[in-house]
Amino acid sequence: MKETIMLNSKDNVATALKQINENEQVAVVSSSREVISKLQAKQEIPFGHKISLAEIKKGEPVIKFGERIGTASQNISVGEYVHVHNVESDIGK
Amino acid sequence: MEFMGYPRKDGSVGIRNHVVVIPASSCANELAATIAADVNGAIPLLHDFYCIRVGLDVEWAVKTLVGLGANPNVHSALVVGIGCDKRTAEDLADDISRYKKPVEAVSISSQGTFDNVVEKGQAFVRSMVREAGKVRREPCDLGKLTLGVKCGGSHATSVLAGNPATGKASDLLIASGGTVIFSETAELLGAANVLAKRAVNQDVGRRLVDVVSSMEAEIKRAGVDIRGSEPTPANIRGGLTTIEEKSLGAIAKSGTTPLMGVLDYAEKPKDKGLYFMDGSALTVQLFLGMAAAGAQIQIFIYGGDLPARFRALLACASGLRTLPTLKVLSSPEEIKEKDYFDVYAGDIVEGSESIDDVGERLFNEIIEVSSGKMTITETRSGYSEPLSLYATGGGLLM
Repeated sequence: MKETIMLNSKDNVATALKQINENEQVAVVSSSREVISKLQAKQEIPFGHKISLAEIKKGEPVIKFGERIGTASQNISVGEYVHVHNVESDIGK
Repeated sequence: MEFMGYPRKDGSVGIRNHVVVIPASSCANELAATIAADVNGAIPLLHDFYCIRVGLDVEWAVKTLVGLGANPNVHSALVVGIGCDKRTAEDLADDISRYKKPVEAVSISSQGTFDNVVEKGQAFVRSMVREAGKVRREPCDLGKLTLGVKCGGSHATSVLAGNPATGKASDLLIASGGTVIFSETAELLGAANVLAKRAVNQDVGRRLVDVVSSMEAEIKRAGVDIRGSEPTPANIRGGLTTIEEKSLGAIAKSGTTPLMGVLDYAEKPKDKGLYFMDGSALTVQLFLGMAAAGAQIQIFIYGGDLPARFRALLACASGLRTLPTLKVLSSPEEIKEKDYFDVYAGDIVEGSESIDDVGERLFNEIIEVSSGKMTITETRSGYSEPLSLYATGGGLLM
């Protein structure tokens, strides 16, 4: 099974370690590469890009490295592709 | 731990033993190039210090040129001027001589003609390259090393592989008593508070947050939306969504040790350990600042999505031939480019090597290169560009 990596236990997104296809089942692994959970990708996710691990409502923070990397600009469901189309930076606002 | 280096009279240790020819201004570039062209082993450090620079830009240019001449990797230096240079060759040579290094100045105003300067300059440089050949490497403490680190072509794999592996190597060097400098204020936007938690005291933490806030304020004042330029289109293709994500990934290369201080551009660290240098500029300009601050070696971490420009950059990754660059590759998608790099970190992404393993390999490579092994970049000598010196305005967010 293809893997996605969750870098911090507080994160609500994980990074795809391989190109992931639509509806594909993927494993979520920790930094030490232990499998934490499994989920289904709702869309195709390119290598190195992010998948949502939780429901993130519009206006809620997107967390990676245990830190805020931006704000959801629309509602994001589990397994969705997370990138510039649904996340906005908080810098310079 | 020890490496084999060249002890200098000022107490520093070189990992190379170069003789350099430094133009006092860009107008003296041809003079410096002509002198160096006929002397085997002399390196001309051509640059763009035009007379139109004012204020802080002049101060930075002078600090950089003096620092490059005084760098431990330099055995001796000749400074050449035309006479009307903003800072004379004699003044610059004087500043470099404070580091107890053989240095001389020649200029058209004191020697009369271009040809006279060439003749006098070559006589000095020729004697210096012969003297330099007599210096032997000796066992030196690793604590004498200062490493500059910078990431480029940031990509989702940078934070998974190259950056944390470099962070591990930085931790190992600092544990051996060494010093590490990283820079690029724009890449702390959204990560300053996280890094400030590692500051050795409140003053350092406050200074760090201050330099980043003043950059953010400057961007706002200029009426620029930084989100339009950061992350770059290549970063976005590589999976990085926001400047915060890019910044938080970038600081992984600084390892885990306390932040000892925040330096001005080209300022020398007062102590050992990890330092941040204020400055946002071209990669080359940041490396010049680190070299001027005394760094003898640098690591340049590449993410992925390597365009031809990055391959071209391999011939002159720092632009500065006196400063060896270790190049680290993060993305397994670019494995075909592996031979252009000193250390391949992509196996971390594949799960077949750990961050610590690659960090240790990188640390060993630092020791070997510091003891004389050539970097991949050093094996190429064909192409170089005049050094672009740091100036306000242009390149603010590169």
